[in-house]
Amino acid sequence: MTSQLVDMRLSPVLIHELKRRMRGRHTHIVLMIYLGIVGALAVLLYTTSFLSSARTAGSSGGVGAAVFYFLVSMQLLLVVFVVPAMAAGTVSQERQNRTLDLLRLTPFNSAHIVRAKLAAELGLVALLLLVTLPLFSLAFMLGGVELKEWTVMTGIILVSALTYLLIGVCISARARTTTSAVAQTYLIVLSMAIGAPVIGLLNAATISGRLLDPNVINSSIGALLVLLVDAAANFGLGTSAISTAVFTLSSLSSNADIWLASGFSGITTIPTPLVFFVGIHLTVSTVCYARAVRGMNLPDADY
Amino acid sequence: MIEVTNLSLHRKGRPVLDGISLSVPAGAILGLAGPRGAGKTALLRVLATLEVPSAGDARVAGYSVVHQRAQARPLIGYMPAALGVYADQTCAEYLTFFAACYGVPARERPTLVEDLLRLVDLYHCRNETTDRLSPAMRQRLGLARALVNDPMVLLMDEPMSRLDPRAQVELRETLKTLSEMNKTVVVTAGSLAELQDVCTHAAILQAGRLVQVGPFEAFAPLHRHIVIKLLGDPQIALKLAQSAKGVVHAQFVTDSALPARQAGRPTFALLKEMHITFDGSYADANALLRSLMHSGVQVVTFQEE
Repeated sequence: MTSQLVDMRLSPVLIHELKRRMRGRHTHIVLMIYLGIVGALAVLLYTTSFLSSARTAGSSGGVGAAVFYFLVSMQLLLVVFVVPAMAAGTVSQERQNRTLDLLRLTPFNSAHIVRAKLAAELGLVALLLLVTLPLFSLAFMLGGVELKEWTVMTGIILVSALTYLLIGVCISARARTTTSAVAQTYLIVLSMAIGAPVIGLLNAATISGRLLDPNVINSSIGALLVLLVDAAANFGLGTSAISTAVFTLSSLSSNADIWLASGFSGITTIPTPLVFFVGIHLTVSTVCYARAVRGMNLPDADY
Repeated sequence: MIEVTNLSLHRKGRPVLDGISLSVPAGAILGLAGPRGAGKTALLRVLATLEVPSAGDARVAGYSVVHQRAQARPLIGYMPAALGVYADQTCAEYLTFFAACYGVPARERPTLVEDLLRLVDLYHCRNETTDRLSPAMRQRLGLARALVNDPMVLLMDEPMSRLDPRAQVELRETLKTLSEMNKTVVVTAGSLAELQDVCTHAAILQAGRLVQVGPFEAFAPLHRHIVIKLLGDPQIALKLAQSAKGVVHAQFVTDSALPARQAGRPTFALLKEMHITFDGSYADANALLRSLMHSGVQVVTFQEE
């Protein structure tokens, strides 16, 4: 009865993908290594922070915050460095194994197959995030962290994971080999996560320094330029999950608004990197989804 | 059952199929022959809804493969030349997965999978992972997968190419059974000779164009060349061959007449090579092989060239 209900509710492609991922040792080994490293480092951090805070202030709130920041950093690194590799082989592997045509021949359309594969990958990412919950409870137990902070950070991590997965699936649907798909996916994801905010901040620092001249600011064109430069800087920060998380955490810890804040120049009020982050990532996700569905129908070059 | 109208397919500006028109009635077995690159696989892929033609249309069971793909797909079974498998799945799991994809109810899947595995003689391998199958067994699993949705039209790309002689005979019988069940079959091969005794209709493709199409009988008698290597009395073998049904001409090749490629190799003096021009059926060829084996001659190889 239960299996019939599952069959009715879940796509066979999704069940197949989930089974394949959990069947081998690979997933379990990744989980064990990830949890082992994160757990060991969290305990180490907790011990050193607790000892140092005991020597100084005697408050455990700082230790809880330190553990929380560390765990969020680890999850962000996981999303940036592991998720692209997970997604990049989803379709290209099927193409290499000549099973993609067989899947396309079934009554499921390409969009269904992409969604099922994506859901399976997201399930695995969710599992990797869920296994760290006991460690997060340690941070909450020690204090210094609010539920709002955890909620916003989890949201950022999930949105970036979804986007990176879709980038991987999109490239995978168009690449001939898995190796090429992995390389292209890492190039794009690392450009987004590391390259864009660095370039954005450097440009903002250089240009804004020149624009802050009172003669320039007082002109209407100058004010517009300052606004644009500030927006460009936040856009650059919003391209990356890492910089958005850092900026948002600092806003949350200082009880500032996480949606609107003063810009890089300090004289404008513009949307925060979090707003740009959500906009950019949802747009990229939508485009990648559409391109992945279209890419599934591209004829194999071997025929 | 299949209507192809002025179908063309271009890839990167190069014509792969050029103005193909043909019709296959229900229950017919169409043999599609032609050299490599003639467009046989491309035509099958278009009929299977895997590729969209550049011009023209094809209707399978009344549904357009261009505009009504969703309706056409459940009625089509496609067996590619090289079957893709999931290495970590067993044969039974592989077929169960595709049965689920085609909407076969969960309670019916075990019986269906068992029937299909028995049909293709793979039931004993039901718990073997698919990556352990030999190419011929994989081909048979491919046939089972193509039948999992009980299709009205079966498209088979070079199904004989990886099969051993026994499996080829079994596949011919399976195809005839499917035809009797009023299923329409399109099967490709390098030459029509491979499809003799099976096909009701035939078509020859060359450079993307249809050279000839029609009932199989309308095609010129097909002469095949069989080479038999044997040990024993050559005169007995020659007499048997010359009196066998379907043999047009039989002769032994002397050492000097052997192809130059063999000249430099060490040869066994007792091994004789008989060349036969043959226009009989596969059953006739089997009868010849049996009579040679019963005559005391030891047949080392018996193959069509």
